[in-house]
This record gives sequence, C-alpha cells and structure tokens, in this order.
Amino acid sequence: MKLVIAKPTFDALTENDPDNLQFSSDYDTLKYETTGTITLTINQATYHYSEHIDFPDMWLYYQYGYIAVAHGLGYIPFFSAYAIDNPTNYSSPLPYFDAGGGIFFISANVYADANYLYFMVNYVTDANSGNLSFDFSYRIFKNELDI
Amino acid sequence: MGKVFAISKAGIDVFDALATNDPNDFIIHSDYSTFKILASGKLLNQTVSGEPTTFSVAHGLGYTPNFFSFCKFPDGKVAMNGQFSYDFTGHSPTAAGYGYFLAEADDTYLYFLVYKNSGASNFNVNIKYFIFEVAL
Repeated sequence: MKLVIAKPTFDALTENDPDNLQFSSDYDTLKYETTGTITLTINQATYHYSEHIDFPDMWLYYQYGYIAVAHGLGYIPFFSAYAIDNPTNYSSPLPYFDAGGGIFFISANVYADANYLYFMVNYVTDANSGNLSFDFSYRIFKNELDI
Repeated sequence: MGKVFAISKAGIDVFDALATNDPNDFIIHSDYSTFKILASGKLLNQTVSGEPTTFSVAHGLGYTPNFFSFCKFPDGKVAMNGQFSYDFTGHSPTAAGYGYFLAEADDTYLYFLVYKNSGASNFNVNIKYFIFEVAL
C-alpha cells in the first residue's frame, strides 16, 4: 500500500513519473530539523598573513575566521547554507568565491560533522583594522549522510 | 476550495493552516510538490592518490540529474561540492593536504573529483550523493 498524490491532470493510479507527482510514499524526502542564522565577526587586526604588492602600491591582509553552530544530532546531517547580504553585497549559497566591497578575494564555506556546522571565511583585503561581519543562514535536515 | 490532502505541523490546526495557506505550516499539502529523492548512495574509503582522483557512479537515468553530494575528509568534516578541505587551524586549504571536492554529472554518470595537494600523502574519503527529481 502506498500514498500517491498526482499533479493536476495526472492520474495517481497510473502515473509513475515522479516529476508528475506532488507526493509519493515511494520516495524519501528531505525532512527539516532546523533553520537558523549566525553571524561571524572577524577582527581584521588579527590577520594571519600580509604581503606588499608594488602595483598598485599597497599591503594585502589575509583574514580568516570561523564560527560553529551545535546541531546536537550526533550524526552528520544533510545541510545547506547561504551567506546573507555579505560584504560583496549579494546573498549566495555556500560555498562561494567572490570579490567586491573592498575585498579582493573571498572564500566562504560551510562544513559539518556529527556535532556542529562550521562557517568559515577566508578573504584578502587592504584593511588591517576594524571588524567585518558575515551573516549566514542555514538549513539542517534530519536526513543522515551516514558516511 | 477544491479537495486537498494536508497535514499541518505540530501545534498548528490544519484548518487554520488551510485558511492562512502558508506552505511553511504544512508537512504535506497536495497543492505543493515535495522534493523527492529518487536515489542516494555512498562511496566509502575511497583512496585519493591523484590530482585529482575521480570516482564515478553509473546512475542509469539517461539524463543529467538534479543531484547533491557531500565528501567527508579525514579530519571528520564534511564538505559540500566545490569546497576545499581546510585545516581550521592552518588558515589555508593547503595546510591539511586534503585538497578540493568537485562533483559533476552527465547523462550516464555522477563523477566525484577529489584533489590532493602536490606532495601530500594519499588519504581516504567517504562520499554521499542524493539524486532528486526533475532533470537539469
């Protein structure tokens, strides 16, 4: 026995193409665990590397930081995440690589293990003081990766 | 209103949910298609020895599928498609020596490319993939 809901104009009793079904108990789905947002603030005075370039004449500062969110599942879940209104003025799914807004290169990433999601940013800028914040939004699903 | 099949989330009366008609209030609503997982699988203890090493899976669909994948590196952290594995204390994708994870697909296969950094020792990864409905 199964539960099938077909899309309009399709017959639930005979339709087998999953693209034509609203729901079918034959197929697993992603099941929400939680959603949330988190902000990573990087103190740019704590850059981990710097170098001088001649053209244009300037110093580059390599910034790095990460922040973790405890998900409490005890296993590695299916997850996705986005950077929201990031300093390059866009919202993007993670991971992304970009430049803009005073940043010469940025790499924003998300990782997971059995206990946490980790949001990690690397970027290169001409700034070596002040704070720069990154807002992230995430979705965690109950589906276990089991790897 | 036509006939619908709806299950509201816990704490939300299904008739109230139907009145406000916010799809976020429903576990299932027959007006909305669910994001169906057609298949999933994993590749365990795959040895990365090249730059990159490519692992492939025949999906048998005859079209390029909508898919999503993850790669677990030896540090225990799972990366998404398009990510380097970072040593979080090393500030650099080269610090851990594990490299980069990239997933690709065509009408026949899913391909998982894992890079190791030049000179780094071989290492093992675990990969998980999900194939969703609706072709690319």
